[in-house]
Amino acid sequence: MIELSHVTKLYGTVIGVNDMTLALPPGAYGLLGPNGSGKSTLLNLLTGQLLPTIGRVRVFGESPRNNTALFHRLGYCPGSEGLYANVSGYDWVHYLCRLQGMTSSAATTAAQEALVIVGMSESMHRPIASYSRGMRQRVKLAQAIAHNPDFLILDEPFNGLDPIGRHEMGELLKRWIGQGKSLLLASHLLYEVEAVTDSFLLISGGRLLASGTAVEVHALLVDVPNEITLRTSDPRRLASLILEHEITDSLRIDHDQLVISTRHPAKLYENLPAWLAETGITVGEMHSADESLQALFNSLLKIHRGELA
Amino acid sequence: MNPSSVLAVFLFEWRRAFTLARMGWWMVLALFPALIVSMIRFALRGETMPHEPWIVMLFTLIPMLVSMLGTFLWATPVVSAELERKSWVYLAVRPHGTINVLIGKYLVALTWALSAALVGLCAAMVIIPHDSMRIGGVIARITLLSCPAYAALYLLLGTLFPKRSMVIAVAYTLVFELIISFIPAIINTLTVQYRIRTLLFIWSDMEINAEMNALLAFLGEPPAWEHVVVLIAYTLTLLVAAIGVVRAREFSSTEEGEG
Amino acid sequence: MPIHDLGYRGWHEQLASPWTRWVVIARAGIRRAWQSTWLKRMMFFAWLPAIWFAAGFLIWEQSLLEPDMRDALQVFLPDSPAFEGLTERVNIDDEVVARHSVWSWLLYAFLRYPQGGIMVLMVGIIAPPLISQDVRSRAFLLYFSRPLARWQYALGKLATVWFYLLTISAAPALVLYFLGVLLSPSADVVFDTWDLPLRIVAASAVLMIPTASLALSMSSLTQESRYAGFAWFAVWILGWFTYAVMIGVEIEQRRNSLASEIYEKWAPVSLYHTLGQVQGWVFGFATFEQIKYPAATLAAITVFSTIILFRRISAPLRA
Repeated sequence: MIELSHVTKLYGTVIGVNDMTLALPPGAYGLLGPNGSGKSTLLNLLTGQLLPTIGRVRVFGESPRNNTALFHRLGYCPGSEGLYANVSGYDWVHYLCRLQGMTSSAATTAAQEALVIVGMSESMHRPIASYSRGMRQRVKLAQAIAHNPDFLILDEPFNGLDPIGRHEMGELLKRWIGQGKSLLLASHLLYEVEAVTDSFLLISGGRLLASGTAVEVHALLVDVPNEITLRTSDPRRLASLILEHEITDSLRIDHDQLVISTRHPAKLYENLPAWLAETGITVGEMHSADESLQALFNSLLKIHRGELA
Repeated sequence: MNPSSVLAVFLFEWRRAFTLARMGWWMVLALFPALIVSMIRFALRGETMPHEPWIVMLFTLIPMLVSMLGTFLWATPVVSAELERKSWVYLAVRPHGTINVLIGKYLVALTWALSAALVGLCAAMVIIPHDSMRIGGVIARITLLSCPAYAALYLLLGTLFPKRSMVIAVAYTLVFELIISFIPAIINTLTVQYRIRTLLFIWSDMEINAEMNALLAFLGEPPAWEHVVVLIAYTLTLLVAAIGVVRAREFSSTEEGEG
Repeated sequence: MPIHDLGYRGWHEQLASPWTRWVVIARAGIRRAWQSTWLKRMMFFAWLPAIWFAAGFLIWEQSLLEPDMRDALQVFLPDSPAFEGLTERVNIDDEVVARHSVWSWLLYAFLRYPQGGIMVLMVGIIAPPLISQDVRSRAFLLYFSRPLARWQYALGKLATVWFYLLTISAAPALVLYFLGVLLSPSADVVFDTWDLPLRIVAASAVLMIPTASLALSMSSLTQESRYAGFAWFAVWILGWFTYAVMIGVEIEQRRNSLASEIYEKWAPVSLYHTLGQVQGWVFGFATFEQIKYPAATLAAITVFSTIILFRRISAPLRA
């Protein structure tokens, strides 16, 4: 579905995407990266808005630049708002459907159906200026799905949505994937992507750090230390115990918090209850970032920065 | 180009044009010629002014000023307004997006400016104390040529310089259309102003002399149809160039999103 | 807790003086505007006319030593009937009076013609997005959730435009004046022309204050900077056109009337000519009686524009 071959995009001397090579079959993917990591640049390359400075971009085997046939198969919801304040959500989606090549009556049906799907059936005829941020986000999604594309590209679609809206958006996207359609969902928040798909691409500084499922990426990190944080009554005493048993590679104490970095988390979990019983130290809170994709992401970034071997 | 999509853009943009501010500007441009003509008649205090100064006055007001300002307001920011609003990307990822949007908005600019100019002409004709029909016919014909040409010119400038399109268009108009068009050299034949001015002299049977317009003598007074053909070709060339620029340029940037 | 404390509720140190807070807005505006490549280009071209006028100073001062050169000075002198007396004053024997007249004319012409035109384009670049962007992005709510008054915000925005207008009006004119001093045979000319730097500052203020207020009031009236840009240029173009037409008609019809009276009569319809008339008074080329209507027009523009600006800035707070 997507093929990138040594793609680099430069804005003058600033690099947006850096020598990215990638081949993705049809499916649902999360594109994860911090702000400024090159997500939007990559999406602009995939939708043909930008031309790569070096390399080749292919979507469904074709160059996306000014590609009329390909645009029939793509649905794009950009991160920016970009709506007309004085028209209704329906008029706007209808207008974009007309630019998709639909007749007026087909565009009417498509716009109405899409707006109903995103939960805007009651507000579709109100001017966009009167919409909340969440409603605007829904209308943006409606214009992307109205022409029933094969491949949906979404840039930060959860922005501005309340918890219920996020859940509904997540469910909607799962249904989309369930229909066998493809999706690329860009976000800087892991939990948003996790809720929709477990296949993801991690990018930072315009470079692709990793791709695959959570399990596959985790396999890359077997030898990478995990970070565990404990909030305790006596962090110094607990630190000395951990050092004595050679469980940790490094640690630091921050007020009542002890943050350890270890390649042997199981050994820590095994010994900790006994130590606490023996010494009377209390632990009020313990958590490991490794329990979510966040740990993988942090570790990959550290590898990328050369902070970890 | 898809006529159905062009029509969709045209209708959508016209609906959006019915705001108080835009209609206010339309009224200002449509009534300005009548206001100036009224002021002149008031200043004359019953005295008469020859036929020719009135024709030149109407020419300066309608095919020049109102056409230029009307098309300047609508055609220049076709791309820059969408970029400023960050709505360009929605149009650019459509199969019938960029080109049809450009042409549709061009037609809106054209009809908007042309309607203001022709209404302005009719209002001014009522006040002018001369044979209205003949003067009006000449000015209307020239306006029908000048509006499309200026709209295409500003459309191209807007696509070439989307960040400062208004200022560039004003500077271009001052330098090329109002200064260079009066230089008796090959370069002035590239301006819309030269062509429509020449047509005014030919169609209104005004006497051409070196003092009045040295440029006409310089060109050997080509026939009117030649100027008309050149203006139409000029308009089409500018439109094609604007389409080419829109297809070739990268208007999106990382500003579009956060990542 | 008052709502306006929300933006800085963690801040317990001393706040900056209310009289200097506008500087923050102005600095941000100046920096933001300077990112425009077109503005940088225009700034370069805005200083080029100073070279031409510096040649005028050089020719005048050298003509005092070589009277034959006086003919060359005619290039810089106006042929407008509104300045009929100037050529005579240039040719009188009193060097002090003649120098003052010529220097005044050169500085006035510099501010009036090239810089006046460049000012229209430069404000057309800077001012339209200055407030309209804040209206569109609802940035007022961010600004006014901090200890910032409306007048400080407005002053900061006005100062942004003033700064750039200063760099193309007073700054090059003052440089031109000092260049004139350097090109003259003796430093004594400073005693003959000491008032000119003050007149430059006053003429620049005449240029800056109404134009910046007008441009920013237009910017505050719209969310789309293109409308503010169009309104700005339309005011100048339509005004100029009306003035030129009416002057042409009246001069043709009333050959017996004084041309200067006709110019004065129609100046208020054109902002450009209104500014020119008042600047002419600043440099001593007109009496206050002659410019009372143009001066009143500029004052009215400034007051009404400022009122509109304040009302628009206050609108989100009233809502």
